[in-house]
Amino acid sequence: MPVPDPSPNPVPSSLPDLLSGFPSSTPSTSPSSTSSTSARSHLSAVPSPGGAQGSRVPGSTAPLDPIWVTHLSVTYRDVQALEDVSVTIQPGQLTGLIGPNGAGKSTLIKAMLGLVPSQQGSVRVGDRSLAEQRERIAYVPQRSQIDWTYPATVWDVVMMGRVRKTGWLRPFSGVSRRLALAALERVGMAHLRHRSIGALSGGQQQRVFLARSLAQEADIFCFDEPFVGVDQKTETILFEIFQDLARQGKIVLVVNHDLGESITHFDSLILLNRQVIAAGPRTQVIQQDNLHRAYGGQVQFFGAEAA
Amino acid sequence: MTVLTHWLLEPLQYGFMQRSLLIAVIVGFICALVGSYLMVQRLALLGDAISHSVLPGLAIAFLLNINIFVGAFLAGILSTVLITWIHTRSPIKEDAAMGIVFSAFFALGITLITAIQKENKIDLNHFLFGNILGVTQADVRDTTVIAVVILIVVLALYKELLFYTFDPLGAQAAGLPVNTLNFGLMVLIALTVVASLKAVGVILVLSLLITPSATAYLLVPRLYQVMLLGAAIGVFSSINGMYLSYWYNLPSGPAIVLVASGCFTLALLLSPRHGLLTQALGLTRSPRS
Repeated sequence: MPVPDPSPNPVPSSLPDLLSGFPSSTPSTSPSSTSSTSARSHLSAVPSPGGAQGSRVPGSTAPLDPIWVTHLSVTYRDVQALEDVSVTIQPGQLTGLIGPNGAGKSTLIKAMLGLVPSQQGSVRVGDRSLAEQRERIAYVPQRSQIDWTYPATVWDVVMMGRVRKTGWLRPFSGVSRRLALAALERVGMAHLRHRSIGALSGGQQQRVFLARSLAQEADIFCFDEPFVGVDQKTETILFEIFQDLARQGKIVLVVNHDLGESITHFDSLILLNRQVIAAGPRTQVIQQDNLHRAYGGQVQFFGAEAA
Repeated sequence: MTVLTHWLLEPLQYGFMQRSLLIAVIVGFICALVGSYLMVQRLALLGDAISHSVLPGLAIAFLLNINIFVGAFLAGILSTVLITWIHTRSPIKEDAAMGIVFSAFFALGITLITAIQKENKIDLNHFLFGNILGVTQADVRDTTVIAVVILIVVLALYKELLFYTFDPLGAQAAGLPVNTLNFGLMVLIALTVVASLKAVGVILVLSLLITPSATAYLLVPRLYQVMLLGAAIGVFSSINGMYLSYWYNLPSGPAIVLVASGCFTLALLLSPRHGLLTQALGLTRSPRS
């Protein structure tokens, strides 16, 4: 049950290393290393370190399929939360999900992942429903959904990201511990790994959850309101990593409440108010009439004039 | 020294005291282990609900002449299924659903047992308050088997249950079978309650489920530490309660519960991190340090 301290292990220092499954400095111990999957994962471990803005990692894995949401409707008892939502979420882009309070942003993410039942519609990636491919998903719920007085340390929470990959009845592997530590270093929280989660600031808690999602080695990342109540440093780190993930060809979907300057970090936006008001490249979505239809009255929207 | 040795050893020359001490130790251990999950999920009331709900199953099993542990276990599981069904299929909230179901089951159980005990040698009080001095060799065997099952499940599913109880949505999104895990937890709780029937009875079992783990929660920061320290406190309370009960002629179940509650009170006042007294005196070690 106890998780020993991982620090003596060599640690991959860059995020692509982290996401490729094995530290690139460590040869794969698997005898199947000639198989196509692990060969691909080694290719993806040779990234451009933070240079190529907007372009895919050269030699990356075959591009992911987008998420196709078609005619999705969700009803809670008598209230229609989502109505006939059809939208496509492309890999390789940072996609923001925006809209007023009660627009169904969280519900859309939960319905996509199959965490709440939908009455109609489908959510597919490739030829299968997304809910059948949950091992590819890293989902970070709103911070308010979590009981932060739970008796767990930062390390415990990040290792939760390795539970599914580890499998039943197995202890965590050394690889898992290295990935978790690397993820914590990436978000600047490794030095606090023995601390109780309840003793962290809001921003630190959010970064721990981000580290957990990185440790999951997922293809599809969904974050629900990650910027609520976090400090500037955390916001910068979050956006850096989101953009990094997008650059590696991942699907990154972020519910964002804030319509301020931070909106310019997104490549694509989905503007939601129970229905899709607009979706596509940021500059096309941020149009005065779209915003008017989503938010009703006048709304201060950064860059609305410039768009 | 000889006084202490005498105090410790004299009760052990009786077979019934050996058996009841053994049962008390096992029950103190598994209750804290499983109770930790109830506490961190804020489901203390569910422990109460399941424990009260086992009564009718026990009575029916007695009537049908099958093992009363089996009947009690099935009734406990049935009550959690009903609670879940009511609060997911209607606007009734979970706590109200628990209150409704467990009081109904409890009333049914009391009615059945009262009717049965007119003709049979079965005593309602033994189920309500336990009858640890009357445990048989078969009871010890049954309790040990249940405890071993519980221990294996808790060890085997530790990392999954940690993830699920901390962040059910995140765990579900990652592909863990959360409904199965949740049902597994209910099974663990029902098994624990059934194993504790003889020792403390359905009314006081909640104390053994919650109090030791809550005490440990005030003292240590990680779930497995809460479980281990909670189990130690549970075992300590059981042993001390039994000796107090022997030497001062106190009812055993309540004596165990009172020791556990005493431990909790001390931790509440004196815990280095959360103690009320330590805080008042400015001795608290800040959790940030």
